[in-house]
Amino acid sequence: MGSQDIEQLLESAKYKHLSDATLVSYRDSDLDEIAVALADAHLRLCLVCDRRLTFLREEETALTITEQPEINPRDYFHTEIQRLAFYFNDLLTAWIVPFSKTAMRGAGDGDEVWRYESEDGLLRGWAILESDASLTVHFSSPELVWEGARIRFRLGPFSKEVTLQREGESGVAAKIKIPRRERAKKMADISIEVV
Amino acid sequence: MAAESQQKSICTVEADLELLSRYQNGDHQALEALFEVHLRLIKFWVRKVWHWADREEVMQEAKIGLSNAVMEFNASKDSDFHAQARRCVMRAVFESRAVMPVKRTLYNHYRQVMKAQDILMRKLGRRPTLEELSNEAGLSVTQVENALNVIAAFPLPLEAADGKLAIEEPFQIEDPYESQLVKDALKQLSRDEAKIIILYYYYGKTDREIGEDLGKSEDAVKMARTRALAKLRDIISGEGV
Repeated sequence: MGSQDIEQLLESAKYKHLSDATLVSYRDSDLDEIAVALADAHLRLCLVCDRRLTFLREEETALTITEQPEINPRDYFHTEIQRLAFYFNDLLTAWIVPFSKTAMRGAGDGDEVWRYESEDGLLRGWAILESDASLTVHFSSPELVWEGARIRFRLGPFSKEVTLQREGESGVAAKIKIPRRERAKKMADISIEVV
Repeated sequence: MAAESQQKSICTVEADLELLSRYQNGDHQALEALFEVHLRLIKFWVRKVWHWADREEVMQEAKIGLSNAVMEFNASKDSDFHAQARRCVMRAVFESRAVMPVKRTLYNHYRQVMKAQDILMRKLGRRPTLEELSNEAGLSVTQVENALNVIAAFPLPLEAADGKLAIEEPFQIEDPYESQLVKDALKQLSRDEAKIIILYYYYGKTDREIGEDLGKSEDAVKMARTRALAKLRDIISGEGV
């Protein structure tokens, strides 16, 4: 084979349509650097082979299913914490709004001074003024996945971390007792964090 | 770290071969599984290529084509059932009553589009647009689109309307042997030499343009190209470097 023949072979190669095997290998990234460069040289010229490649790619997509991996409990809980935090944000608003303008109402023993329930019923909260003038704040939820979640509660100078604990099969709950001397003067000065 | 979804193909060469082997050993559930997987493909092909034809009829023919693919498949001779299934399904639809009235037209459009593509890539030195292809082939853009889909769905070359292989195709397909020979020879050159040959002959760049890419003078590129060409000739002729 002479140099002219080689030149002719090289010059005509880019005009030759790619075989199905080459296109499949190209799609699957199974070609080496030189083979990719040669295939690209033709693909940049040819709408037909470009369409064939698109077809092969779409065909592969049509056969592809998305598999959900097994959920790692830690990852799952991480997202549950975010969900719980979302609910507590709503609860906080329900606390702050009534207490920002008025003082705590209800002076009798065991009076419920505040109550909240999320729209879907997944988080409830209520506060009771006890006979010893301490304030008890309760949280409960039927969401068992929130068991073990730590909540950092602060009301004025008082702060405490509690854990949502399981209560039978019905759900989880936590209770915070604020002694009389530590009760906040400004009831709206509150923060709740899920940690 | 959040868990991520994974993409997985439900049709692989190995999975197909296993199902076919189980079926050939009398496991009819394996055949059902094979059909179920390929039914997704058939729906894709029908939607993509034969969307203008009667869907029910095309689907029926496609399923017959798939059955033929199973019957004709010979694991010792063929390795890729998927390719055979596509071929058989496409042929069955192409031969069906739903497509029969336009079969010759489709075939003619296929040839016209291939011919136009061949002319335009040499003339333009780039990929033609649909409109350019439509003008060159003398067909509407929709006709070109349909022809391109038929071309994409069939292994080249498409069989002629009478079922026989077309002898004089207006285009050339790479010869796998020749193509491999050139790739292997290019791999034996130095990286720069291979790059010069590819850029010059495959991408139509001049010696000067290549020189600018590689930081060499035009003359140096020309000399390197001549030397690389001689090496390629020796390698391909079997004389070694």
